[in-house]
Amino acid sequence: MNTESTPVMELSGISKSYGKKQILSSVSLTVWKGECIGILGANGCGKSTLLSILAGCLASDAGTVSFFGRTARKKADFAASAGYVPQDNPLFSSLSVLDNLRYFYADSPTFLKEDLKNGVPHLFGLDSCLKTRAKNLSGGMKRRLAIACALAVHPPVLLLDEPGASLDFVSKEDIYRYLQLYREQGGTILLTSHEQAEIALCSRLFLLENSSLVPIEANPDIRLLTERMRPYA
Amino acid sequence: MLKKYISFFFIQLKSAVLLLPKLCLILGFCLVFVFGIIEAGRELFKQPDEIKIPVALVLPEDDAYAELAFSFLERMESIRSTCAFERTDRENALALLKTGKVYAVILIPDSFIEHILNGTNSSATLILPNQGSLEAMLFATLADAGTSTLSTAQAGIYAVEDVLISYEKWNTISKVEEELNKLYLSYALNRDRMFQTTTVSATDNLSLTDYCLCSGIVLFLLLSGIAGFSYFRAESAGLRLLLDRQGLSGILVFLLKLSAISIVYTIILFPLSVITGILPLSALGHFFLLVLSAQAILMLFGMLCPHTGNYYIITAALSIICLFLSGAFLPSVFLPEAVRDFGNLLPTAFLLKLCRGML
Repeated sequence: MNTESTPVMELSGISKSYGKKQILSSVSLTVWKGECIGILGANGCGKSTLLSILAGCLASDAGTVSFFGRTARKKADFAASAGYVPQDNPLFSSLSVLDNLRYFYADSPTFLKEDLKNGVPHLFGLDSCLKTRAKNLSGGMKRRLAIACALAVHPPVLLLDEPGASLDFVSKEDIYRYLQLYREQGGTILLTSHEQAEIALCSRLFLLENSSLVPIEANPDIRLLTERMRPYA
Repeated sequence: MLKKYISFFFIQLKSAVLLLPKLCLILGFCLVFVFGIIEAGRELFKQPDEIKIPVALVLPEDDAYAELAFSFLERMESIRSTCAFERTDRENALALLKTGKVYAVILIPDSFIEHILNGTNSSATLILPNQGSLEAMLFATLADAGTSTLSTAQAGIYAVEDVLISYEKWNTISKVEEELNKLYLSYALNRDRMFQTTTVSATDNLSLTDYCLCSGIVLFLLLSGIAGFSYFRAESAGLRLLLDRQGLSGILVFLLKLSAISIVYTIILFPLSVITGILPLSALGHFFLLVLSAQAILMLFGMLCPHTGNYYIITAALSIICLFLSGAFLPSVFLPEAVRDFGNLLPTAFLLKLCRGML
């Protein structure tokens, strides 16, 4: 299979309802290698639900998700293809940074040694606080650690749910710089965001409104976008 | 998949080990608490070495037979263990009775023993205080029982004697009387035939120390939940999502965490208990089950109370209240029946039962 002509990720007819409330209605999207897809939308419109489905954490009512042309059926298929960082940092708070990394690198322990020297944990400065307990880290460092853990298996796709939310400028800047690097190295990103700087990182933007993904221009006018989201907020 | 389970299990083992310094603090608190209860319990259940009913005995002066007979009577185990006789004169005996220093006065008439021997049977007088105390009632009952035994024996002997006389069997009278005397005395003096020993224990047949130790162990296991909130609480929503993606369902996470902390507690605490002589080596299975049950309760608390403050209050308050209702601090027999019945249904009652079963 020619991977260059095969989409990295393909969503086809994804639907999801909570009770009578339709959250996603036949959502389809094709994502190519090296792209950074931004999904915008009002709070509660279903962005996190969509990301959870793409990460394999939540089952959709209908539709399929494919990675490199193969439909992901088991949770392991999703886990092998996409690193996922939910809004709430998925960390073992009472354990050290190193223990957290060890757990998420359990499937690829050789990567850990290498990554601590040159990889994401090193780039994020986590190698200087390996013995610190996760609960004692700053919000920015926790986010960095969560991203580093998500990238433990060196996945081709990174799913980020509001990666820069409630972080200081330095932390955001460091994370965005890394995301840029990840893309340059061939990684594909799909993120949800309300941050202008994150939107600027994206190659394509979609607005989730009326349970559907609607493509919008790459550099949207935030004032107009806000007015468009207001009825759903 | 199995590799993920094992990784998660080991990471939980490590998390549990990290709780140990805090656990030492809780252990210290529980030790102080238990020793406090033991000391309080000793005061509460303190019993005098001997309980004897003081009785004044007034014997006729210069009556060697009476002196001999009552010396023999006083040495009898059943009397010696319940009564303390004070020989005195009539005036002093009545004064002692009035002041409450004795609970009864026995007045023996002149020639009392001779009259028994010749069949005249003069009566001894028993004087009890006007306001009957428990001791006086007890002594009166004992005296009644003794009199009744004596009367029965006498009646039996006289009846046989009368029968033998009516048939003119003069030669056999003394032999039959001797046999009957032996028979009656063997019944009257054999204490085991008269009394059965039943031990009644408020502490499930445990010594006070063991009883308090059990309460202390269960209290420690439950209060250890305060130190281990970070362990017992439910995972953050984000971590829960990722664990689920790794095939670690909520139940599996619960079971792995429960096993990990129970193993750590057992590895640390059981050898300590064996070395200090609190538990025998054979109690390992019981101990593990006890730890497992206590930790399961704490994990349920943790799942129900995701906020630190609520969790601390609920864990501490529920543990102490439930332990009290289950008879950990005060034996259940002292609690009202409805409370006792309710307390027996609580999980803490099960924990205490398990713990008491080990000792």
